[in-house]
Amino acid sequence: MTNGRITFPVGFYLVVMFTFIYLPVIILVLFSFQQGLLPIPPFEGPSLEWYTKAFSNSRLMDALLNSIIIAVSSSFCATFLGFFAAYGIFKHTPVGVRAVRFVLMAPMTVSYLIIGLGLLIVFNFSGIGKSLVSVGIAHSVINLPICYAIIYSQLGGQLRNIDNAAHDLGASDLQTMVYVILPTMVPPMLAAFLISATLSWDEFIIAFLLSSFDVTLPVMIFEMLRAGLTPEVNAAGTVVFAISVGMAFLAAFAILIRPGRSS
Amino acid sequence: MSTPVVELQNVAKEYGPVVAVEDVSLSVQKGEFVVLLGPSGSGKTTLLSMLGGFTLPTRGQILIDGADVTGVAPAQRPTVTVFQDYALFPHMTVKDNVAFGLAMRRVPKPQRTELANAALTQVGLADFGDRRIHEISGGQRQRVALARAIVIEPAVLLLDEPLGALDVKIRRQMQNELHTLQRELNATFIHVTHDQEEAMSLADTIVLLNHGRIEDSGPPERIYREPASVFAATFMGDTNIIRGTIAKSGRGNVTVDTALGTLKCHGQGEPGEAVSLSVRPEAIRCGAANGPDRVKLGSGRLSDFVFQGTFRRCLAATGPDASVQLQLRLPLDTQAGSDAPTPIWTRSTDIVVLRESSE
Repeated sequence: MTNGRITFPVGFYLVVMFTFIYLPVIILVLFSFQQGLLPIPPFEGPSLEWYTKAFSNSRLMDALLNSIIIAVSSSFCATFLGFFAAYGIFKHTPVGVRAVRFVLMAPMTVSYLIIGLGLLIVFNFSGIGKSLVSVGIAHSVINLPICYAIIYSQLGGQLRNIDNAAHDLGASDLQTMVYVILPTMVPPMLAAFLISATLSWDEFIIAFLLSSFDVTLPVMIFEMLRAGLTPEVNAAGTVVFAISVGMAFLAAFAILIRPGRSS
Repeated sequence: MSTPVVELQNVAKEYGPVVAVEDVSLSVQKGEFVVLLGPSGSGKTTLLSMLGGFTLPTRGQILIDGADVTGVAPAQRPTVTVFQDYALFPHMTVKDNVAFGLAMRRVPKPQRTELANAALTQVGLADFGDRRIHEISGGQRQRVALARAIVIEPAVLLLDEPLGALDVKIRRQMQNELHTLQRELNATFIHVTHDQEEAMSLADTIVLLNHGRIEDSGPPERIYREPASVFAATFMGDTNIIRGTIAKSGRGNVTVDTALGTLKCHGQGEPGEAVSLSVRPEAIRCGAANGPDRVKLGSGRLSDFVFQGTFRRCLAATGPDASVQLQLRLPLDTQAGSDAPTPIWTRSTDIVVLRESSE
C-alpha cells in the first residue's frame, strides 16, 4: 500500500465488502426493470412497465407527495429550531448550559420506536391524534438534535468576533442575526436541512405509528409489500433510493462550502 | 489640559480566582495615540475589551466623553473595535462591510455609499469596493476593517493587536499608515500590542502593563530612557541589570556599591537601600574612560560577537573573576579576536537607578 497500489488481499476484501453493502440495492434496482410479474431471477429483459404502473398509481403518488411535504416542512422547522438553539447557546451560555445541551441531544440516543410510541400517546391524549401533521412534528423532534449539532459545530471563535463586530457597529440582536449571522451560516444550515430531509424521507417506524389514512412513501411501500411482491415495489423503492442519494450528495456538497472558506 | 476623552477609574476584572486586571486607572486625551503594551496575560486585551463593552469590569468605572459607560452595550458606546482577526462579514462585499455601521445608523443609501467610498480611499482601497472578502489579501482585509471602523467616526478607536497576523514588511508599512491616519483624523486611538518596537513607533503614550497592573506609562522615549521599574527596563528592549546597595546619596546623585565597584549615578535613594541599575547595551563603550561623567565598569574579555546589521552584539565578562556578563552593542568596525581584557565604561547619565520598591 505504500506506493498507492492495492495488493490482492486488500482488493479482494474491498470487493467483498462493497458487494455485501450494495448487492441488495443493486438487486432492488435491477428487478425494478423486470419484464414479468415477479421480482425474482431470472432477469427477463429491461422494461419500464412497472415504473409506468407505479407513477400512475394514485395512492403511491399521493404518498410520494406527502413524503416530500413532510420532509421539506419538518426539516425546515428542525433546521431553524436547531439554529436558534445553537446560536442561543453559542451567544449567551445560559446557566445550566450542560443540562440544556443534554436535553437537546437526548432524542438522538432514544430509539425511534420509543419516541414514536411516546408521541402517539401524547398526540392521542392531547386530541391531535394520528395524522400527517403528527408525523411532521415527530420528524422535527427527531431531526432537531442533528440540525443543532451540525450548526453548532460551525459556530467557531471567528464567528464570535463577527457577532461582536456587528453589535459594535450598532446592530441590534435581531439585526445581527438577520443581516450577519444567518447569511454566514447558510452552508451549514443547508447541510443540516438536507441531512434532516434525507432522514425524514427514509423514516418508517414513526410515520407508520403516527399516520392514519394519508401515509408517507415508506409506509405505502410497506403496505404494498404486505399485498404481495411485485416489481412495482422495486420501482417505488428505486425512486426512494435515488432521491436519498441525491440529497446526501447535496448535503456533502453544502458542508464543503464553509463560511469565509479562504481565510 | 481639557477633560480626558477616556477615563478609567480603579477598573478591575476577575475571572473567579484569576485576576486579569487589577485596579487600573488611566486617562486618555482627545487625539492621543495610546498603546497598551505588555506580555501575554498582562491584561491588555481584557482592558481593551472592557473599553469596547464586550467585558464587564468586576469593579471600577469607565467614562467616555465624561459619561459613565461602564455597563453600556458596545452598540451604544462611541467606540469601535478593530479585531485581531478583522471579523469582516464574509458574505458581503468590501463596500457593504464598510457601509454596515452606517446602514445600522439609518444613513440614507446614496450618502452611505459616498462615505464608504471615502473611507476606502482613505485606507488606499478605492478600487476594491466590489471585491469579496475572500478575494483580498491579509493586509487589505486589515485596511477594510479599519475603514469599516473609521467610517462611523467613533470618539475612540480600539485596535486589538491589529497587525499581529501580518508579515514584517507589511506590518511596518501598516504602522506608518496607522500613524498617518490617526493624525489625519485627529482621532483617539487605543492600540494593544506585545511588540515594544511597534509601541514605540506608534504611541504618544505607552501604557506598560504587567500582571494586570500599570507598570509604567508615559512617552516612549521616557519609558525607554528612564523606565520606572526593572520590568519596564527589560521589557522595553535589551538591557543590563546590575544589582547593588546605595552607599551614599545626596543632591540627585547616589553612589552604589556593586560587583563592578562603586558606581556614581543620577538617582534617588536612601543609604543601605538595595537597588538595580539598568544600563542599555548601546550605552556601554570600550576603551579608556577619560572624562568627568564616565563611569568605569571594569574591564573584561569580549566574546560571542554576533553581526546584527547595524551593530555587533557581544558579551563582556567583567567584575571580580569575570563573574558579571554585560551585553554590548559595538560599532561594526570593532573586530573580534583580542584575548586581552578591554576596559569598558558608560556615562553616569546612562545608568538608571531602579529602586526595589518600585518593582
